Amino acid sequence: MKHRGRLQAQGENLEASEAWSQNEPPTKKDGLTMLEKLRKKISKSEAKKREKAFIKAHKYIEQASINGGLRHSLCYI
Amino acid sequence: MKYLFPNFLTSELEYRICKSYWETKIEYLLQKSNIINIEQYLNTKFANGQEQFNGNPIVNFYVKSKNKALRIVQDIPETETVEISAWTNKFKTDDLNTTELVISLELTPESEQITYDFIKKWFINDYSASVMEKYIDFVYESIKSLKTNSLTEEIYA
Repeated sequence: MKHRGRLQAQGENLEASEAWSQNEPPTKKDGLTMLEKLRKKISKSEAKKREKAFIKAHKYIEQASINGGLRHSLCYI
Repeated sequence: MKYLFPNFLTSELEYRICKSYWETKIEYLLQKSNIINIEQYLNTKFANGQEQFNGNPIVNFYVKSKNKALRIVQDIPETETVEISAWTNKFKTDDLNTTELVISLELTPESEQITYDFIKKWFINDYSASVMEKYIDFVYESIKSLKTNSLTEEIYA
């Protein structure tokens, strides 16, 4: 089974994402790396506006990893 | 500012009560207008069954007869004004292709009332996504002018 998903930053005039499609589910390390890549994809000011959201996303990935991961690729943070 | 369930993100019990509060009131509102067969369309649990408890969404509903959905995002109360925003969003997965109304708020009696108004317009009056967006903008403007008026009153007081 292919595991697909993406981390996405949305807003007015902004839609950036980091996607995955692979045979194995992404690990916590993969998730945190993608989150960092996403932060670098957007401008510093856009990243600053979303600082709280990035912290939430980081915590969410940590929590998912200690709770056996996700059974679905879609979750909102 | 009076907040409802202000500790919902730090107390699991308060979170569950808050979620149940929303579900009961929204289901009653919809059922009163003969909107039944309401189901959840988002999974809010981790793979081991643990609830995510992150407020996004605090509740979610899909109404098959309208092919419309509702997602309410509740945030930690931290501002001293009515904090609410809403938008429509195309939602597509392998199993579902619909439009969701997303309402993001800090829960106060005022933001709760605005939420029910949005829900009525979306499901009961059956506004299209574009009309809903216009209505949301109209409500924002009204809230903004209320904020400005109260600021002006404070300055002149």
